[in-house]
Formats: sequence, C-alpha cells, structure tokens
Amino acid sequence: MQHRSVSRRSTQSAVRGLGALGVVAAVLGGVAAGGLTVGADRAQAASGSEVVVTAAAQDADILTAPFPNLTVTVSQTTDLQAQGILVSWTGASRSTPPSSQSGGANYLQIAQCWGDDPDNPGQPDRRTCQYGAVAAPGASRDSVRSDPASVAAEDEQFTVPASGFASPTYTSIPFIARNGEVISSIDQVDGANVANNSNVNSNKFFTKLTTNEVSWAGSGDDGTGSAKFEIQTAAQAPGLGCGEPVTDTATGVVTGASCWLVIIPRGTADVGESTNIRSGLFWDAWKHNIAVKLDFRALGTRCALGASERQLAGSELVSAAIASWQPALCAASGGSIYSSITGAESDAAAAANGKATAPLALTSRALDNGTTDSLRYAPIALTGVALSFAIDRFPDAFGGAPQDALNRSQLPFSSMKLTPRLVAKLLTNSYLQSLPYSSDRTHLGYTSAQDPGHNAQNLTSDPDFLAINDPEWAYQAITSPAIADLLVPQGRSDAAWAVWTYVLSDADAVKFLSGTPDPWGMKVNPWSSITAAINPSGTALTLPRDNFPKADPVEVPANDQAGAVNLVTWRPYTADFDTAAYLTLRGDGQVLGSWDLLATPPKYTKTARDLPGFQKVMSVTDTASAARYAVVTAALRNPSGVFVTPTTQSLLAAAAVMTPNTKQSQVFGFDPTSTGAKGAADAYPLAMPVFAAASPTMTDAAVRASYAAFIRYASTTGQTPGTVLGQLPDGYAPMPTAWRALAESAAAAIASGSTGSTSRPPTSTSGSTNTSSGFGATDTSVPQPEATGDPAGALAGPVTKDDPDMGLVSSVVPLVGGGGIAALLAIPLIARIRRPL
Amino acid sequence: MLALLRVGRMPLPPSGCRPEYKKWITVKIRKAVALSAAIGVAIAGISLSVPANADPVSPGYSIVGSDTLQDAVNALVNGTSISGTFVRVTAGGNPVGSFDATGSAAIQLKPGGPYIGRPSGSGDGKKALSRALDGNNWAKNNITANVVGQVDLARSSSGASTTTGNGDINASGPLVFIPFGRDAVSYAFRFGAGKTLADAPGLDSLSAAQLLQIFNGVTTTIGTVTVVPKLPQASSGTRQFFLGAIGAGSTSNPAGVPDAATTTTVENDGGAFGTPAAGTVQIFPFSAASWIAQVNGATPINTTGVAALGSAGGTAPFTGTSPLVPNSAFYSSTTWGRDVYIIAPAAKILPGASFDQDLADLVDPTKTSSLTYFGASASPATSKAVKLRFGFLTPSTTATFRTNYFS
Repeated sequence: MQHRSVSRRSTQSAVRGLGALGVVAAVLGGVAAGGLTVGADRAQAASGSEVVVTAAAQDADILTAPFPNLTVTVSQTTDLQAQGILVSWTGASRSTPPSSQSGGANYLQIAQCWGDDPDNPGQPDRRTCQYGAVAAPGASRDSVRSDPASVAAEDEQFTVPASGFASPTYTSIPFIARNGEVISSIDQVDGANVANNSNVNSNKFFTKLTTNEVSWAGSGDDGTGSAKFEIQTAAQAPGLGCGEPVTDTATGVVTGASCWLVIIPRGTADVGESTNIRSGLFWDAWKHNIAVKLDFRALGTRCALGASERQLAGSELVSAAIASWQPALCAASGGSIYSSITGAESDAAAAANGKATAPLALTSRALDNGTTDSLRYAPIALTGVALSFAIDRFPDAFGGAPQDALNRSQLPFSSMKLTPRLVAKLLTNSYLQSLPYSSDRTHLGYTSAQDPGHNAQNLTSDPDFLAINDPEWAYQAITSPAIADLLVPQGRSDAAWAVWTYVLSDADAVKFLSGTPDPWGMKVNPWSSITAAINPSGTALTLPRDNFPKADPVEVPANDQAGAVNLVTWRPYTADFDTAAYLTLRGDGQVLGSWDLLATPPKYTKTARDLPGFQKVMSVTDTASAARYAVVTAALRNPSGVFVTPTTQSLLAAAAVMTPNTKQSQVFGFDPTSTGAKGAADAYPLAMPVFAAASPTMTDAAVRASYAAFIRYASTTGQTPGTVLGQLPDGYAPMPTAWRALAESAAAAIASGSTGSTSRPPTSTSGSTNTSSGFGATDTSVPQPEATGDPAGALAGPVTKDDPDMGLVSSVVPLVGGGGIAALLAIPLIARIRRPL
Repeated sequence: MLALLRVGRMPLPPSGCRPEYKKWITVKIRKAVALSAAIGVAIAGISLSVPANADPVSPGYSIVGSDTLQDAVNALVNGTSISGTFVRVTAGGNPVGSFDATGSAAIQLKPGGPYIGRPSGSGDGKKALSRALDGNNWAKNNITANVVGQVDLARSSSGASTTTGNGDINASGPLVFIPFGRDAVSYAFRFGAGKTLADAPGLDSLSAAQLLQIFNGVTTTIGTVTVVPKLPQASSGTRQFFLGAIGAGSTSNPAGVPDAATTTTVENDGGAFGTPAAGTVQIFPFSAASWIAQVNGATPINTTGVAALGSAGGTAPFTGTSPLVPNSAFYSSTTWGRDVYIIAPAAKILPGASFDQDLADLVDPTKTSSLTYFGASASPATSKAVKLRFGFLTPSTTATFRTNYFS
C-alpha cells in the first residue's frame, strides 16, 4: 500500500503506452518552443509571437467588467505544441482564494477553446471550451441559480426552469467537441428543457485529471499576476483538436488547426448571487472574456504501417529529441520507424554489447560490467539535468517581513542558487519536513516542536541556502515536504550518476555526507551517510550511484485512525523526469493527505495540487522537459564557483571541457573534478552528452545500417535547433562539430561492421577523468533485492518484416528490483498523452 | 430533558425536565442492553424514562450526521422555547428523531430496525443516507448493517465534493442539499496558567496567513506565550473547512499538528482544551454558531469555559455579550463563512412514485414550519427564529442542489 501512488503512476503510464499505437505512430509534437525556455536562452523560441490584449479593446460590456483596466500578455501564440506558456497581467485587484463553497473573489480563469462563436464572429464560442472539469464552485459548466431573474437571455436556451424547491432553475452549458459530438446535460422534450443524467464536467473529452484549465489565478496587491498554462494539442485534448493538420485545398499548405486561449475575469460575486459560485461560462461572466488566437504547429504525419521498426533503448534524456526526429526519419524513403524504450542506460548498453540483435543503446556512460566493450559510441545529443522548482512567495505574517515583501505575496520566485551541499541535503532527507511529521526524527536532532534541533525544516529556512540567495527568501515562511526534498524518479539512470558525481565533487558536500555538521550545525540523515560508522545500517551509502534511494526506513506505525506511513508513502517517486517537470508546472508536490477510513480499502488521500500563488515544489528533471513545460530551473554552482543555469551557452561551455572515460575513450562527460571544469566559468555542471551505442559485431547488417542512418541523421540535420519536426527541440544544445565527426566515424564503423580502433575523444585535458570511483564500499554494499520470476517481455506492436527477435531482448534486459526498467513500452514517440495526474 | 453526551464530559443531570421533551420519548434502551443486542435484535415497546442521550428510536423520520447542526436540529425536532415561543418541527405530525454525532457506538434508529454504528459527523451522515438509498451496507464501529429505510435525512456542514462520481454535483442526482443556515468557522483559544492575552498581543485577531504559519509549526510563539495548535479528527467537516480556509489544504496533515495528542479532539467542544500547560495557549478551530449557541445557553451544556473565540481574519464573529449575536460581516465572508445543509432523498421530495409529502414539507424552505425555513418572517414561532438563537444566519442562497451518492 505504501507504494500505491508509485505503482499506480507506473501502471497508468503502461496503460497509456499500450493505448498508444505500437508500430504506427501518430507524431505528436512534444517539443517546446519559446516561452520560458531553459534559462534565459530564447534562441530557438518563436519569441516574436507574444501578444498583449486589453479588456478595453475586447470587452463590449466594459462598464460592468470586474477589471476594466485588465491587460493580459501571453508569452507565445504561434507555432504551439504541447508545452507550457506564461500568461501574465496587470490591472486586476487583490484576490481572495477559493473555499469549499466559493470560488473566491477577484481572480482570473484561463481555458483553451477551439471554436468561433457563430453569433459573434471573431470571438470564441463558450460551448467549445475545455472548462468545468474542476467542478468546484465557480468552476463548473453548470449550476443551479438562486434567482431565476438573473438568467441572462443568452442563457435561456441552456436553462431548465424551476419546478419546486427541490428543482431550482438550472443552467448548463454543453460541450461541443471538434468532431461535432455534443455533451449536454439538458435535453429538449416537447419543446421544453429537461435535465438528463449526463455529467458535463467530466466526460470522455476531459476530466479533472486531464484538463488544463486554470480555475483560479490570483493577483497581488498591485493587481498584477501571472500563471503558467499548459497548452494541449489534439493528443492531450482530442475534444479540442488543436493542431490537427488542415490542408489548404488551394495551396496544399498544411497548417495546424488553431484554437483560442480565453481569460475569464471574475469579480466579487456572480450576478444574482452573493459570491462567485456559478459557472464562468454563464453569459454574465463569459461576456467579459478576453481571448487570444492560438496557432499550432500541424501535428505531424504518421509513419506508414509496415515499415521496418527499429528499437532504441535507454536514456530518457534524449526522448524529446527522438520525438522530433522520428517522423522525419520514417518519412524519408526507405526510412525505418525508430521506437524508443526508456530504461536504465547500463542495461541497454549491456544488451547491445554483442553479436545478437539488440536495440540501439542510448547512454551517457560507458559500459562497465566486466565484459569486453565492443560498442561504438556516437554522440547524438548535448543535454543536461535540471533542478526545477515552482515556489510562490509566502512572507512571514507575524511582522518578520518588510512591507514590500508582503506586497509581493503569492508571486512566484524566478531564480534560486544551489550548491552541491544543498543538493546533498535535498537528496538525503536531511531536512526535517522530508520525513513524516509524526515520525521519530531524533536521528535528525529533532526532539519536539519547541526543540527542533539544528536541522532546518526545509530548504527555504536553511541558513546555508539563505546565505547565498536573494535576501527576500529570508522573509518567507513556506512549509511543505515538497521543498524539503526533490521529486525524483524511481529507477536507475545515468542522470542520477551525474547528479551524485556533481555532489561529490565538492569538499563541503563530502564533509556533510560524511557526517560533519555544516557551519550551522545541520547534520546529514545518518541513513544516507557515506561513513559506515554513523550509518545505522552498518554500511556506508555507496556514492556515486545510478539512482536516488530513499534510504531512511522511518515509519509511522499504523493505528486505528490511520495506516502506516513510510518514506515512500510520504514522498513518492515520480515515474520519470518528464513527469517531474510536469508536476512542477502544475504545482503538485505529491504531498500526502489524510487517511480515508471509509474508502474501500481504506487509504491515504493525496493533497490536491496547489493553486498558482500557493505553489511549492522542487524536482529533478532534464533540461528538455524543463524547457517544454516552461518551469524555472535553479542555478547550480559549477566547479569554477559560478552559479549557472542551463542554457545553450552553458551546455556548450561544459561540452568544451568534457573529458574521456579512462577505460573507454569514446565516451566523455563533464568531470567536475577536472582542471578544465574548474576553469570553465560558464559551464553548467550537470551538462550531459547522450551517445547512441551499438556493436559492429552484431550479425544483422540491415539493423546496423538502420542504426547508422539514425546516428547520421541525429548528429547532422537533427542538430539544427528549431520547432519544425526533425529539428532539435528547446532544452538541447547543438553538438560541437568535433562530436559530429565522432558520430560519423562511429556510424561508419557500425554500418560496415568493422571493429577497428576508435578515434580520439574531442578534448583531452589533464587531470582526473570520468571514472567510476566513489566513496564507501565499492561493491553493492546496499543489498539489491533479487528479481524473481520471469522477466516481462518488452511490449511492442505487431511484428513487422524487419523486427528483431524480441525474445532475446526480454531475456537480456533484466527487471531489477526497485524499478530498473521504468516503462517497457514500445511508444515510438515519448509524448505526453492525457496524463491522469 | 435531552442532555447531550459528549466525549470527555460528565452528563449533567437534567434540572427541571421540561414536560414537552418527555412526552414524545418513545423507547429508551439502556446502554448495556443496546450493546449486547448489537445486530438485528429488535426491542420494541419498552418504555423507560431515562434522561440521558439524544438517541430516541423514532417511529417517524430519522436524521443523522453533523455535529455542528445537531444542537439546533435537536432543539427543533424535540421542541424548544428558546425563541420565546414553543417551536417544534414535525413531519406532518410524525416525530423526527435527531441522533447526535457522538455518544454510544451503536444506535437503533427505528423500532424493529437494526443497531448500526453511529454516524459521526458530516461525512458519515452523507454516507449513511447514501447507503440507506442505494442498499449497500453501512459499516461503522465494527458493526455492519443494512440501513435501507432507517436513515431519512442527514445534517451536513459541508456541501458537494469535487470527486467525480462520489458526492459530486449532479442535477439529476439522488441526494438534495437544502440550505439550513449559515455558520462560520473561527478559532478558539485558551491560556494555560500564568498567561493572558496581554502576553500574546494579536492572538485574538489572527489572519489566515498567521493561522497557517501556526498550524504549519513555523510560528510556535506569540509574544511570550508558546502556541499549541490542535485539530479535530480527519473526517471532521470543521477541520477540513478550517484547513482549507487558512490555505493548508482541506485533506492535509499540517506540520504543526502531527501527533495523536493534538489531532483527535472532538468538534466544537471546549473540553478539547483539557488544562493547557502553564505558559502555553492552545488554539483550535471552532464553529461560531456552536460557540454562540453554547454561550447563549441554547444548548444544554456550555463547554466554552474560560476559552475565547478569536476574530479570524480580523473580523469579530459575534457582537454583544448577552446574548451573543452572530456578526453578519464575519458570516458573509467567503473565507470563513459556510452554508450548512440538510440532505434529503430526491425521490421522496420530488414528484414521483416515492413522493412523501410530509418529508417534503419537513425540508421545504418556503414553509415556515420546516427545518430549513429562513425566509422573511420575523415571528418567533418559526424555525428561523430558533436557528438564529443557535447562532446561524440566513444562508447565502436558498437554491438547493443535487449530488450523487457518497461512498
């Protein structure tokens, strides 16, 4: 039961994977473009499409508008795909948050709609909006009306008149999908409106878990505010059909179907009510809407059925790039469909290292399992790990904050700095709030609420953090387990290895992990210590490692009021890096709720995600996902002592000083202990290359040729930054020329099957190289659970003519306890499809 | 005299039992007998005049659920003169039995009916009524029983849920929520020995952000006083509403209130304070209507003692001193105010095969003699007048709404 949230998430992604077409892939653009890109780099952004609109220009009924001076800026309106954008505004008023019986006061609602209003050309049709799924007061499609006289004339056709106190006046706005299907809870019977039993708020087109509507977005004292908005294409919202290809019959040009972004301002109360409790689609609220046209990239062409399918397996970091390259590759004559399986890179490399036909491995580190490495490694992407966050200001309400800090309450923080020691604290459950509140936390120095010891409650109250960050952080009083640790994925990855390597490169962080208190007396959680003597398990934590263990076995025992809570119940894993960024966008810290005694079976509920203005969550993700969801990323202190955020420039600066692995010179990486790294002031310390690796000894020449074609495309055309299919998405830096040359020679070797000497790495600086040395016992001192049972086969679509024998793959790629293979799916594209989060 | 048995308090013996309460008490079962006859044993026709709990077995209609409304509903269905005139609400002459949220673990609602686990709070009330209509068993306090025909109405201090298919709004749904009145939630506080309000300036007027910091454990001291926050148990409607109002999230477990010692208090009961330790002040959420009703003597027992009710958000919850009068400025706040409801089966109050005129009139807000009346009449002979004395104000809307079953 403790793993409920974890397993449910994995199961759901597995289910969605099965739902996605195994072989034939509708290309679903998963590429971010513009908006808040990685860091401040807008090179790939369609930055010219920012739009500013005002209520004065759009609202014909401005005299009754809640905010006559409202001005809204939308960060990107063209070339859109499934991504995040930023909506910001001025001219509103200080908001009141919603309650269980009221939608709040003075706020904005944001929704995505697809159709034009036939009665009001140039305006969106409220019946086409994805709105109401939240089903909270003020945020539904239908409601009863307290006063029949308050029903506007335009709502009459959607209204059932009252018939007695138990059947009050009822208005319900139907939803009309792009394909013409209508969801309505009102029928016409003998010319009169009658309620039927349909649920207009949760239906086949949208539910509370899939909707992207923002039901409440508040403003500060100065009437300004902003909110991230998740743009959905036809893949995530089929009822809206945004981005579906539309061919102009005259010119033959294919564009994506356009949609609307609609902002509905709400004042202090609905007409005829004492508070905001009725639908924002009812005419009296809807008539004040401000709308912006959204132009979408056409969702790409399908790959033809029956074309040969090739498997790629391993790194999740390159998924977004493969999603962009894949349709261009299969559209080329003789092109294959490259379907991607995400899992532990080391497993994929091990599987590829031999004569048997195996998926093309995608890895960032060299194979290191004791066998002879016959792989040829081709660099195909330069990306990185990002620590993303969504933290809104909550200044101390007891006089600890100056007035201007109080005035900025609820506005989001846009930057933070982290050192390796801070990252170590976040990864080792050393902050008090990262352990269950009613658990025994004496091993962190905590005695009672009055005597909490020297370990800080969470990151924002840690003097170590406050010392290097903007002084405004010191005025905050934010509490949440989600800022006492990082949302991390389960499973093994090279990205985890890179994060731990970064942490270990810093003497302060190593001292902290060894058990020495930091200058303010904070001590590492001993269960995660690298010193065996203080680690209660008797063995030290082996670092670096390729996963993010939750090592503390703390548990709040079950009682008759509630079930047990252990660390994984308290702080669940995410499924992957993409999910972590998505949760950060939505402000969902995965915080545990209360025990539902009357559920069957009784279980813990989850606290709902925070509204914009009240968000507090941090996560480990990759730079491509961070760019796509437009989440803010932390600046990390690099070995040169400079705090750097991930941008194209900082990734390239890190690439310039990457050093080769001592045992496998084809593979290089950013070694924070190397001299070059210490001299690179602009380098982002978590930059990572991704290599495609295959063995020239593989017997199937056709497969090797396909792999070589993939590598050649990825390393040349695929490195052109842009938002067009086939190009390099935001969050990746185009590879240096030297890398491309290496990729070409590796591709040639793989294609020809020659096992000649490998070429030199692009840089060779003196100093220590990217080895796998670490601290603690070198072997698996933390015993890994044994996998039992038959390993599950990889899930794939129907067999095509060039399919490899999947039986070999399934036996070579083991399922390791702890979720070694996070999602064995044959999804050709890693695209987010209607996540139920 | 109906004395309310609450956990942790000795029941007061009735003083001057009013004859009008006695005359309709039909069946009283002694506790020991009740517990031993846990399942399916009907004991009818035994008439004992016992003074104790408000658990009459009712040959008419039964109503269970929320603690917040129970005092007012009890008074209305049992008959009360609190408004100056005797008021008793019946369903076409049939008595209505209102069952407390707390008391014995098992109750028998109707003669010949099963003993069931007592629904305790709004959530239980919604679910018990749903089970009475959909025929599934009601399991509570280790007693599982079929309650079809046993539960007729529910009291609730919270509205619809937002979970699809589980108590969410459905215009054709089987449950109808009828506004009963408007309550508001503030916080009560009581000092331990040696400290007074002068030592903790501002404690009597905390904002939502300040309350959030206290319940999150960020702020543990105000002035020279240590602050100890407490909360009712997880399914309490008052707890969920209060946590939602201060921004902690209605289903959360805030950091400042982690242990069993601070989270299992009953709702709206000053006994939860116990004796605060010297140098500390305890605070926990409290319904303003319940507070006002207790201080005004409308309820049989006043648990408030030496505690005080704070002005959440800076607005006083009541005005006056004797009697206390609810402050409409506080009650109308969308943050702190909440409508409370009576829940009825849609099939029985809408035209159709199951239509029950008596039940419909019992909950019809247009009828001055119904439970839910809060109209324009100023007559003390209406249920409105009684509810005002119990600290409720006019609900923000009289529009009813329908939901799906709660599970």
